Amino acid sequence: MSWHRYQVHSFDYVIDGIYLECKKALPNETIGFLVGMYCRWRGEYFTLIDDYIPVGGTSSEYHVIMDAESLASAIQILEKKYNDDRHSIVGWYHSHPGYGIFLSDTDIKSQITFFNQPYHVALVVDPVRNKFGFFKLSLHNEPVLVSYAIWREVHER
Amino acid sequence: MSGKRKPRVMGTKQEMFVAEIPPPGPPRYELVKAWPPSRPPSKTLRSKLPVIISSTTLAVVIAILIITSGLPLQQLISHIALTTTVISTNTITQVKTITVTTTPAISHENYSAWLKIVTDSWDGTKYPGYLTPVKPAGIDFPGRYNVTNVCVELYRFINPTRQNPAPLTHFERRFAGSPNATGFIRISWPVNWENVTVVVKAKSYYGECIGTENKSPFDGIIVYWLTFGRISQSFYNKFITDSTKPDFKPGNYTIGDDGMFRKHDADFNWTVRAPFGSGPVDIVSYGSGPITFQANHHDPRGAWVARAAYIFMLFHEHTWYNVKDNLTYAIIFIYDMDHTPEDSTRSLLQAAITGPDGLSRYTREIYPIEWGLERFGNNTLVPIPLQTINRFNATPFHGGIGAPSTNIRVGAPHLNATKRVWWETVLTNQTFYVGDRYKGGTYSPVQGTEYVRPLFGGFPTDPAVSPTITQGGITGIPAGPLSLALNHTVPKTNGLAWVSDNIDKVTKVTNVVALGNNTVFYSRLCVLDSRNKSVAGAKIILKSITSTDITDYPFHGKYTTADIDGCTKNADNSKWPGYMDSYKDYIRFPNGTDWGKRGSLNASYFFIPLNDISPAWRAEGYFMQVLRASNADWMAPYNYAKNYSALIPKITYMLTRTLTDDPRWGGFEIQITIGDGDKYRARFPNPYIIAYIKQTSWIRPNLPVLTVSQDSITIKVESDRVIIKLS
Repeated sequence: MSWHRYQVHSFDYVIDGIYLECKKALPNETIGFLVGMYCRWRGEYFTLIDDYIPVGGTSSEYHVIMDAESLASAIQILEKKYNDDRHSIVGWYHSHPGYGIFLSDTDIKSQITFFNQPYHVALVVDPVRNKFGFFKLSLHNEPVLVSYAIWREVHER
Repeated sequence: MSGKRKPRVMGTKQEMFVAEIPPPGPPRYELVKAWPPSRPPSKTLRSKLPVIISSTTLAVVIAILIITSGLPLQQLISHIALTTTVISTNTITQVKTITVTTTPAISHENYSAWLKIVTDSWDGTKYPGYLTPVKPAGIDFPGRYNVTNVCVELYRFINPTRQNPAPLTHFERRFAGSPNATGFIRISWPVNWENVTVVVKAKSYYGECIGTENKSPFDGIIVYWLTFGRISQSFYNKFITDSTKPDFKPGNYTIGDDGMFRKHDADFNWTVRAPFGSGPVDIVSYGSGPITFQANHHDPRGAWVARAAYIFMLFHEHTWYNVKDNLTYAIIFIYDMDHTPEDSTRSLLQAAITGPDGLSRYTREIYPIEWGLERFGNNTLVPIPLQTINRFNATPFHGGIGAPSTNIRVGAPHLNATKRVWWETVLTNQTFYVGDRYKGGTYSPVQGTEYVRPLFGGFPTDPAVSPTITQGGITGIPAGPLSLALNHTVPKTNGLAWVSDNIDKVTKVTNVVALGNNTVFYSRLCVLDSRNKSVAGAKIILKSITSTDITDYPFHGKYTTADIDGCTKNADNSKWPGYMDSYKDYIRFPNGTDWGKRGSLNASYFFIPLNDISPAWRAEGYFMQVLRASNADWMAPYNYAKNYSALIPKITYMLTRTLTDDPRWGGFEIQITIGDGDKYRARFPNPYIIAYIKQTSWIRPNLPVLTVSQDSITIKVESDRVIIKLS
């Protein structure tokens, strides 16, 4: 199976954890960073997300604000937690409580400003409708849904 | 150095470490969710298998049942109908599942956003963190006026034949409804729509939608138009083509109330060409498509502020004898002449009543108790919708208004409307224009008043000299004593110069008024008997007669020739507020009906929103958001506005609902009674016959001074009196 052709891979504990953060924040939006690696296998590149860092940024019911302080704080956490050269911040997540999966103009501007590398993704979660989606920007800076696969580790019984 | 490698930071051009590792997968990991879902070739076959099995099973089961039951086929079918349905449903569900999985689930959703519909007079500010001037800041009626009496439609324009410009003949439609009492409405549209267009159409005075029955965008009085999304060039080329600016690149545009184009910068500028701002035609381009409209306006505090085309007219009704000779309790009706049948109640757009000063009072805007009915209780301004779209070529009116010296057609929102003052009709077929002044035109003070008026249209200096001229090069605007100057509005601020920055500014034009010279007559009636002797004590009754010879309205007064000369004197019973004392010996007619029988303004029917139980005000209605609001200064959308422009007070004498409702005029009847004995009566088709001629600057037109006989009465108009001679 050509699993590596999915552009984003992640794990159930990551998505479940982000969902939990989003639901705790209701009715407000919430925001955080995606931690992982940029990977290549058999000539195909993909982004692997295996962790996340919630951000206590400014948020309200209808908007969240990403700022430089939040970013610096996330990097400090990342440095403490991972002692390797593989993990980095590969994107960000935020919630749209009850109003769907998309990138607003503000979101697009954030993506352009902070996440302009090919491995960068934006995860949007609607904790009310129980939906989520990963986005990247096209060459014309238009949001494009990207393919993803969410995995769960199989434990021996 | 700590020895740790610093994690990569986004936004930099550094080289990213790429890990050469396989993605997660079996057997260590199992797939929980994927998008798009995995569709290996064998899976397609598997997914069809249940369909085949179900069909086969169904056929086998039916065959067995026929053989074993012995029932006729038709009876058997009804017997097993339920079972068959279940099987079919299961089968269809599986097929549907296949279909759904091939399409992103998001495409089946709707986007939604809020609009707040106001006028270009709206004074609003932004809520912190939001982009649009939703929060009311006005202190006057136009500045706080919410457009509520409208229908909102949504359209998606498609261009299947890929014509350029797009013909705009193919579209999908959704009816969105009407705004709530403070102009808020939530719209939603399918996610696959492009060229998403919001069309706001005026309702009639009685709340009937105009132009929605044909389900076409180009019907009705379109007071506001908004297209947003990734707008196709072919749409631009069709909708906002201008010969002087032929190439409209995708971007943000506004065509203002003055008919002029404005190009916005990258972002939509709500204050472009202040004070008009946006609307009534807005084109908003989003590279990311209509979803951005939802993102920006999904919260009522950030609602899109739709500034619809309305003018606020101040009317003043008076007799033609003197502009200070006010008509009190005259009822002003505004009828549409372009979009509605004349016998339809939808033709009535607005109504108002005049106060003792002869100025209009708009009674439709009611305010809650806690704000005090006096806040705008004496509001003199009548909001009138304007047509912003040329429905025949499917483009906005644009280009502005031509100078009076030219013959350029008006390219700005306007409306062909008739104003009627009841009951003495004053019919004109005039165009309403927006703006406080006419390009190149000037103002003139109205002598004896605080008002100014534009020297334009049907307002000649001397109607006796030039009763029918057409002014300003604008066709269809007759001038004369029966016409009205309606080609202006009442701006809410001072110093507007909206057509061109080059014209001189008017420092104060707030009292621009639509002066109505109504055909109210005065006459000093004198009765002579057949021997030419004065008849003191004769009773005179004036009535109007319908075309079917039915006595319609008795005029207010029954007059008596009290004086020794047989003439009316001190005709107190004809005095209304506003009546000029210099006419005290003259009968004023016709000036109204018997108010006691027909009622009066009934304030008990006023709409108090706090007492209203309509669904729109319930928590699950438009104000559902209040349940989620955590911000203390946001309680509900209606609290944004603090006013309530919603309902229709019941005014019992406003019985004229259509242009054809008025009884056909059949004439004018004079009845003379002498004591308890002799009665004389005569009918004259033209009431002018007994109008008194007063030689002032406001005189009646060139009517003959003559003697008319009918039945038993001869009427002779003399220099200062009208003789009724009985035969």
